Amino acid sequence: MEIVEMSLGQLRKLLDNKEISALEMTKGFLGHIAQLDPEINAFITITEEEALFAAREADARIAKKEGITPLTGIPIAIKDNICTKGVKTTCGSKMLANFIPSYDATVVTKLKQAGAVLIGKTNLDEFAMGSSTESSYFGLTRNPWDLKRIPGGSSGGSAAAVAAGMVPLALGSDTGGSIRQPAAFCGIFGLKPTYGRVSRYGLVPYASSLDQVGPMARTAKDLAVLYHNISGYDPLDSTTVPLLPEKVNDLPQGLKGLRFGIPCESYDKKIDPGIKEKLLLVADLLEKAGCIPVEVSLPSLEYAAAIYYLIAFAEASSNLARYDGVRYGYRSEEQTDMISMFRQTREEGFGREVKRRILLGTCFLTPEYYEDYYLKAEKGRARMKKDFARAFLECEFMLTPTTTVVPNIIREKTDDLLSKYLSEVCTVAANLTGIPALTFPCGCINGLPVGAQLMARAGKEETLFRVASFIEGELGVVKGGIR
Amino acid sequence: MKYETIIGLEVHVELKTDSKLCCGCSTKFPAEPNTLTCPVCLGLPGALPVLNKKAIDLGITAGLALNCKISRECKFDRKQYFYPDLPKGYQITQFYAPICRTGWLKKEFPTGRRRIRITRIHLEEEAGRSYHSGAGIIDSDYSLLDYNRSSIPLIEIVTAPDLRSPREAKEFMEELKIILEYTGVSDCKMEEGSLRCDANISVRRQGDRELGKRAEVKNMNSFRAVEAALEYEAKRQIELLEQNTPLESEETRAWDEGNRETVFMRFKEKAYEYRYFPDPDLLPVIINDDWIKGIRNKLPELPNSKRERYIQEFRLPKDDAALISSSKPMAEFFEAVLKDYSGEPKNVSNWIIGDLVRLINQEKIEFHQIKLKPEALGQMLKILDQGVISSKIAKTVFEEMFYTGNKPEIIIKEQGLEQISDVQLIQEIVVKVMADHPQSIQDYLSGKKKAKSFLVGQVMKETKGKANPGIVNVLLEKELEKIKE
Amino acid sequence: MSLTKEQVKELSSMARLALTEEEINCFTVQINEILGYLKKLNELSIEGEEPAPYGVPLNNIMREDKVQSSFNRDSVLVNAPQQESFCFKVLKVLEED
Ligand SMILES: [Zn+2]
Repeated sequence: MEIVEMSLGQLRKLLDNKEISALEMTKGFLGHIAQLDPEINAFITITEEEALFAAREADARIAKKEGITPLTGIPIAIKDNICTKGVKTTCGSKMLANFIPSYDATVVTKLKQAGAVLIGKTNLDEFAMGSSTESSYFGLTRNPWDLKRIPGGSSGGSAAAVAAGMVPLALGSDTGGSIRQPAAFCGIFGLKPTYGRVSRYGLVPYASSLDQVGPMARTAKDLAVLYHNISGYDPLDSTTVPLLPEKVNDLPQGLKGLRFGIPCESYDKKIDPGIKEKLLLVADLLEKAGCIPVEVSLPSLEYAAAIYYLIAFAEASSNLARYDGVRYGYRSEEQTDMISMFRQTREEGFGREVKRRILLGTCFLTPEYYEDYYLKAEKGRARMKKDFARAFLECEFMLTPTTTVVPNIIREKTDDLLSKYLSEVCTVAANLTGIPALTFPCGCINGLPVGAQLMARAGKEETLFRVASFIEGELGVVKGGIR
Repeated sequence: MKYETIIGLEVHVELKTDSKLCCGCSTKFPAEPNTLTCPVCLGLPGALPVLNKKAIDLGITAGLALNCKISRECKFDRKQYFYPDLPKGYQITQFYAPICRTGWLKKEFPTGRRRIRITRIHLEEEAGRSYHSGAGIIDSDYSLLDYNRSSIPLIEIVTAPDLRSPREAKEFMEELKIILEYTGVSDCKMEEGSLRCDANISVRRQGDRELGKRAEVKNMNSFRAVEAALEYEAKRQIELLEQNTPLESEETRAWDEGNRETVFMRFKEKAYEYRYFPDPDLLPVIINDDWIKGIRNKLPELPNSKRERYIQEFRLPKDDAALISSSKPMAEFFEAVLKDYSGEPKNVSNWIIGDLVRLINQEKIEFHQIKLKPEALGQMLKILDQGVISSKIAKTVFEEMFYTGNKPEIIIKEQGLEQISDVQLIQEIVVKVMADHPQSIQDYLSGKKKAKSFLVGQVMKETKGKANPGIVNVLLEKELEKIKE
Repeated sequence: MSLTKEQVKELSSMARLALTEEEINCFTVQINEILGYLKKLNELSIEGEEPAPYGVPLNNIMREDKVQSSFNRDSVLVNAPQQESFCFKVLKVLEED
């Protein structure tokens, strides 16, 4: 087996047994990237020099048998909206095309401390606003399963890189499904952690009350290990939960007695019949393993997309106000005074989708709309939390589709804005309610991967890993993306 | 026709914390441009704010000192507008749930004692500063931005329109400053911008019930400027009323210190749309009774009550009591002296208001920087009362204590400043002085009483002022009587 | 409530975006489409709900008033589009628009 196909555990064994050095391994992955990425375009920046340096350091650790963690020497890709000290962090935008942070995001600090090898920064929809990775200033990313198709988004670069074997692991960010939807489209695992479990310090915000950084990987176990290494309380992020990271031991296989909820509302949607079929298969497997299916109801789920867009755009319009050309980032040459500098800089520096969302968010926060739209959405979110809390009295986790369709052809659906926005309908509820949600591959339709989503109560990532790991064992690993 | 002036104030006060509201950068001043900055206070992408607890404590302190209701739930909102000194494109402030509401400040005005109502106090962060570079033609189109002040904690205190004259506005500000300094909320240095105020002012005919359209006056950088700017603005508005062209819409004006006038800036109708909404990065702060109680227990006695107590307990004249209580370090010094010294409190206040204040002003230092210890002053006053030194010598001793911080007994001993009360010694000097000045004795005998004072002066001179003047007088009189006979 | 082109222009001015005529036309249509969809929210019962604008149900997350070292000024100014005398440099404001 080639290293590019290997799981974290397999790579770890190679390193620990000194069958391969971290340096050789890193070079191997860099070579694979050099070979594939011109076509796929998963990376905006490849940090070869830093990666080789980190690999040598990892080798030194391994040689001394000191401070070895599961990630020591393992190449990892980072979504390019997560700040890396001394390495360009662009958010896929002209606005930050040359921005070099002087600080690491907390998750990056944690990975560096664990001895991981950060190999590059991955492509995304501009400022993580989108679900196709077509709106990046640095060009679109292609789905390794079928280069004519989108990888999903906004963490499309990370998903494609992991799926194609360019890295075993990657970090993404998820505001309304930006980890889970591309993970599903690329046939890999992705986790949107409980809000507050992973520090947002250094994650360039899109919608602060919804954003979470999360892991993406090709196996459930790898996903769990990466999550374990990035989660935990951070004094630099007031919204992190003051708890220690969960211990992830070898995931137990037994699922007997666990109740899994099937929210009727999730299956009412126009779901691709093929996807529905796969989900039923998964449900069968769970039942056979001793899980108990329960029908649950989430009446507010129908409004999740509306609530999500109101909150996300309102927060985004505020979070993106800082890009004014004064302290960093792009500044327009077309300026006669300060105000025209602001206006031109933002007009030229942002792409169309970003501008659209800023305008909508600005609108929602004006007095005419604040009460009837923004505030209503915040109340709707409270209602959703109650709906979910009630449903979780009857089950330990829920099973839903991650997406209603398989990945579409690039540039196929750019006109119909509303249907594009509504494509995130399955994933946004977890962000609005702050609960963890995991997507796992559950088969293929016409050679394209399909994902299913598990959701659990806040803080119960462990349940999700257990279930996903079990199904993975039953279905076998899906590797159609490896090239 | 008589007119009434109606004034409400919005006072911005920088809180006395070591670090900023949302990050650990220092609040010290002055400092090299942009050296006290970090990703948080520069609004760099991905940086997140973390609240400074001391700022909340000081907000509560200010609220308690101004008799406000402290909110149980204190939340932060984003106030959104674009300006280069505002690094995030929004200011972290409190719009929907301010930390304090509905308080008051009692103040003795020339027209009587009144309560000025406080509408609200909210916490917020300071913006950076812009400097306009160079006077040259090329440079003058630019601004330079320094973010050292960015995110320093502030409170904004908003009063009801309860002030009735520019002088009242000024006196209210002075009283507020004293209270905020006392309670350690702020340094209140208007010249450094740590205390600023904007005023809403309108005029109406006496007896009218409806308020006129108001103007907001900004850029008043001293107490005197507050009074002058509002005098000007009140007069301007009265003139407009008399010409039957009152303000038609609310406007913002700036005080021009050089030209001594308020200048139109913009109409309020064009007020920015701030689009406030709750900041999702900062979670609510729940203030419980224990927290409030803890702060209330540590609250010092406020100047108002000190003033009353000095008059009642120490029998100080009203003006002395007001002056001493106006400064916390001065009041503390005064009270500390009285711990050691059981004589007349007025003696103590005389020395503080007189010599001590004079020396402090002369040396251009702050009260808290003085070397003089209150125990030393108490000791000196005791020695003075015992007659060991004369009040003239006491002045010398006092200056010496002020400059060196030494104890009075040491100064007196080292410099040999004890009063001479040795009758035999003084007798000898008196005889010598009389022998040296026969003419003065003739003058005295011929009825010129002044000659005696001259002789006393000569004796004091001989003893370098140390002779006990009472004894000198008695002995000299005795000798002169002898000659008469 | 639907928005006119003029209102969209006002929003763009508030958001400091100098949109092109084409963008304004396009955005006006799209914003109204989205606003139309969002009316759906009126059907959701939110009786008795308090707004929940935070991601976690925590309170009183604060730090002690301790000074920490600031960042190196050069590493901060390196991203400045224009600088002078260790300050960020911008054109002055002419008039309020
Ligand atoms: Zn700072």
